[in-house]
Amino acid sequence: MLTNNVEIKAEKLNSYEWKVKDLVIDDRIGTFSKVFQNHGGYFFAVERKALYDTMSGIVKGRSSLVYTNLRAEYEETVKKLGLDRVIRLDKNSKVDAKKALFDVEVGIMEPDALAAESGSIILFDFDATKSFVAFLPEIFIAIADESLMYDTVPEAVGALTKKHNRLPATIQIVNGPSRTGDIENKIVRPSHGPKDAYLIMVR
Amino acid sequence: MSYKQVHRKILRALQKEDLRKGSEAATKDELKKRRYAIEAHKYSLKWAEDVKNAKSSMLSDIESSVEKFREAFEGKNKHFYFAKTPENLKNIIYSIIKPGDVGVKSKSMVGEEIELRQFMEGKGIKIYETDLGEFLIQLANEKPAHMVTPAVNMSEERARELLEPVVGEKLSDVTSMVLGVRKFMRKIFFSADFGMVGANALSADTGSVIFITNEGNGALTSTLPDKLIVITSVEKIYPTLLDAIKAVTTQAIFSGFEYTTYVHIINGPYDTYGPKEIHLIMLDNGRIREDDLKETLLCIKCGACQFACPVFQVVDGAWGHIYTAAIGVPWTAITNSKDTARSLAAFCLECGKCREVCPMKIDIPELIRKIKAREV
Ligand code: SF4
Repeated sequence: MLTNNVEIKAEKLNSYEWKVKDLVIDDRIGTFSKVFQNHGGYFFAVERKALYDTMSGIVKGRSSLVYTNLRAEYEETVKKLGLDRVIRLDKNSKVDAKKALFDVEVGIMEPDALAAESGSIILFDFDATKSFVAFLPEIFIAIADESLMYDTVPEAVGALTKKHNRLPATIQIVNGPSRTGDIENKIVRPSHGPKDAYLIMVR
Repeated sequence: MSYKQVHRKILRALQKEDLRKGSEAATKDELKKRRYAIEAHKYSLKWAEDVKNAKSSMLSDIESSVEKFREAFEGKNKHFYFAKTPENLKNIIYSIIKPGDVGVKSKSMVGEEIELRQFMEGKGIKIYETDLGEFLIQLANEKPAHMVTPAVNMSEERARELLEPVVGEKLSDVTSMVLGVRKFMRKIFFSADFGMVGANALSADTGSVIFITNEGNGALTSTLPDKLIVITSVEKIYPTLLDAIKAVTTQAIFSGFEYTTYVHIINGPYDTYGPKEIHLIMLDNGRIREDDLKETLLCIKCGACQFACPVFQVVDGAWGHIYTAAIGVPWTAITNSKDTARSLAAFCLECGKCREVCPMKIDIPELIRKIKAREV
C-alpha cells in the first residue's frame, strides 16, 4: 500500500545534528552579503521605510510582476509600485500559472530562510508557487529580515523541518542568478533562470 | 573499442591543434578554481570524509540500501522502478511516455551511460537537452568530454555553427548564443509533456532526490512539465538527507564551483501546480555485483581527477568511452565493456595525480592496474 508519510519523516529528522559545529559565523549578514554578491547577486540592507524606493529602483522600466508569500504590508508596497500587470500567486489563486508566467518580468517573495556561509536563499515549497516566482521571471527579489538568517544550509533546513514538522514537496536553494560557463568557460547571465537576483534585508 | 580504435581516437585528437590548446587552458583554469574553492571552504575536507563514510556504509549492502530508499520514496503519485539492465530501464521509460511526446532533460551521466537520448529519439520521442553544454553535444551528435562540463573542448566558432541554424538568428558572441538558446528553449519548457532529471544524491531516510545546476535548466525541467522522470543509479543513495546535502556540497566544491547556483531537493509532487507525478528509475547496470572494482562506486563524479590527468589535459574526452580519463576506465569496465576498459587502461601513465585530487581518495591507479592485469 502506498502511504504518504512526509510527516513521520520530518519527525525523524529532528534528531539529527544539523548544526555544523566548526562553522559558526560571527557576522552573518556581512558574510551573506559578501558571498551572495560573489555569486553575482545584489544585496541591499534597508530601513522599512526605504523598501518602496529600493524596489521601485529595481523594477524601473518593467511592466509585469508576480509575487507570493508576502505579508500584507509588503503586498501593499508591491502594489504601489504601479506595474501594469501584477499577479498574486498562491495555491488558491486559480491562476493559469504557465500562461500567466511565461513572460513575467519580476518575481518577489519572502523566502523561508537564509544561510550566511553559502549566501543561500532557502525556500520550503509546498505548492510550486515559490519555485515559479524564483525561477521563471528575469528578476528575482527576495525580501527578508535578520530572523531568517542561519549559519549554514544544513542548519536552516533542520530548523525549517522542525518548524513545519513536515517536509515540503521541494526545498529549493538559490545561491545567485542563473549562469552558464559552458562555452569556452565564459560566464554569461542569465541562462534559463533569472538574470538578476536581489536580496533586500529589511531592518 | 579495441586498443587500436582507442589509439586512433587519441591520435586524431592530438592532431587538432585548437582542441589541444583549448583543453590545456581549460584544465589549468579548472584546477585553480578547485584549489581556491577548497581553500575558501576548508570544512569541505572534513565533509568529504563524512561523505565517504556515509557512502561506504550504503555500498556494503547495496540491495538493502535500494530497498530502504524505495520504502522512503514511494507514496502518492510517486513511483519507483528498479532496472537491472539498460534495456530494462528503456522499457520502463517506454511505459511512462509515448511516441510523439516532447521532453526536456537536464544532465544525467546515467542517461549518457546507456545512450538514453538516442534510444528515445529512435522511438519518436522528442527530447531536448537543456544544459547548454549537453545541448551542444546533442546538436554535434558527440559524447560529453567531461562529467561536469560536457563541452569543455568546444570552441566558440563551433558552438556558433551548431546554434545558429537552430535558434534561427545571427549569434555574434557567447552572450548572444546563451540568450538565443534561452529564448528558443523557453517555449519548449512551457509546453513539454515531461521533464527528465538525473540525481546527484538520494537520501534513504526521506526518499529525497537532490540535484544541482547553475543554469536553472534543472529548475524549469523539474517544475514546469506535468510528469517528472528521475534517472539514477544505485550508488547515489546516502543514509540521511543531511549526508546527501553534504555530498552535493562536496561535489560542487571539488568541481571548483564553490557553490552551484541551484540545489533542488525533491520530496514529492506539489499540492497544486507543478508535476503531478514523479517516476524514479534506479539503474544497476553491473554495479551491485561488482566486487573487484567496487571502490569506483565511491566516486561522486566531481570531475577533479579528469582535469588533473595529464592525458586528459592534452586529448580530453578522446581518452575514454562515455566516462572519460582515469576514473572513466573502471566506470567503463563496470557499466559498459571490460574489453574497452582494458584497451583504455593501456594509456594510463600511472602518475597518480588523480588519486591526489580525489575527494573520496579512491586509489584510481590501482583500479586501472587491476584492469590492465586482467586476462584478455
Ligand atoms: S574519482 Fe574522485 S576525483 Fe574523480 S570524479 Fe570521482 S570523486 Fe571526483
